[in-house]
Amino acid sequence: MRAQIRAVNVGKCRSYAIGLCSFFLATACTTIATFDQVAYDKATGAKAEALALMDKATNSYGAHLKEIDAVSLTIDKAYEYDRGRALNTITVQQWQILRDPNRNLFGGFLRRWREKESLRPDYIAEKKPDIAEAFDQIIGLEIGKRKVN
Amino acid sequence: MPSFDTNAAFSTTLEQSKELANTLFKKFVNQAVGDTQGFLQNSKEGIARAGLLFAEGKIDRDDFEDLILGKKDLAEMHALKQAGLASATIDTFTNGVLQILLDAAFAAVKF
Repeated sequence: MRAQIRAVNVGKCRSYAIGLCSFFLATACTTIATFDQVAYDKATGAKAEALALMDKATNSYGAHLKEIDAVSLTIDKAYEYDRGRALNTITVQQWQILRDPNRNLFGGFLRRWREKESLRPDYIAEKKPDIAEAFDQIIGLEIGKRKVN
Repeated sequence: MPSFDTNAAFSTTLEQSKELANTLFKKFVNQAVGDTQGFLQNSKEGIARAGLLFAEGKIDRDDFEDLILGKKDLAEMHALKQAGLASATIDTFTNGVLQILLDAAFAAVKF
């Protein structure tokens, strides 16, 4: 009887050990952050605000300073949120390209608007799909991350 | 007498892992190829439209350069997304294998 109980306990211990090992291995083998609903919401919100702002760039930069600051803040918040997540370097790099004023996506768009005071409608119409696509690269990566229940 | 059939656990894990790899990585490759083809097509059309706008004088040289350089930045972001998705697929595979191993190990324990 005692031997049987001991055997059952050994079996249980082995099962727990297997479970624990698997848990630690799974944690150790993760190479990229898992899906985050907040990050997704922030990125989609920032996209909508950025595209709406771009339509106003035919007018003077100075007349839209408040809106420009508000959209920039929304993007900064989304970026900082992603920067604070573990194993999220790739998404952070994407945000850096999108925000960089010395490159040619949204950061560059704002710089050019400021420098030129206003932008041509044909240029804006052609630039908008590119900015939308840039946000979609961030959003698409977030959607593709592993979902954890 | 409790026992643990190690061989059964590992052969089951190996077999099911192969199936998982086939499904997951095939799906990833198909999606990546489709996504990249769509991206390249969009870029090609965008460059052609920008060239036409410049030729027609609807945008200046500076605008044109910005539109072309923007495509380069977009390509970089696209490459980063694909790299991230590849990592996520590998993670899904690794976790899948561990789950298979766990299930097989529990099935192999005889109390």
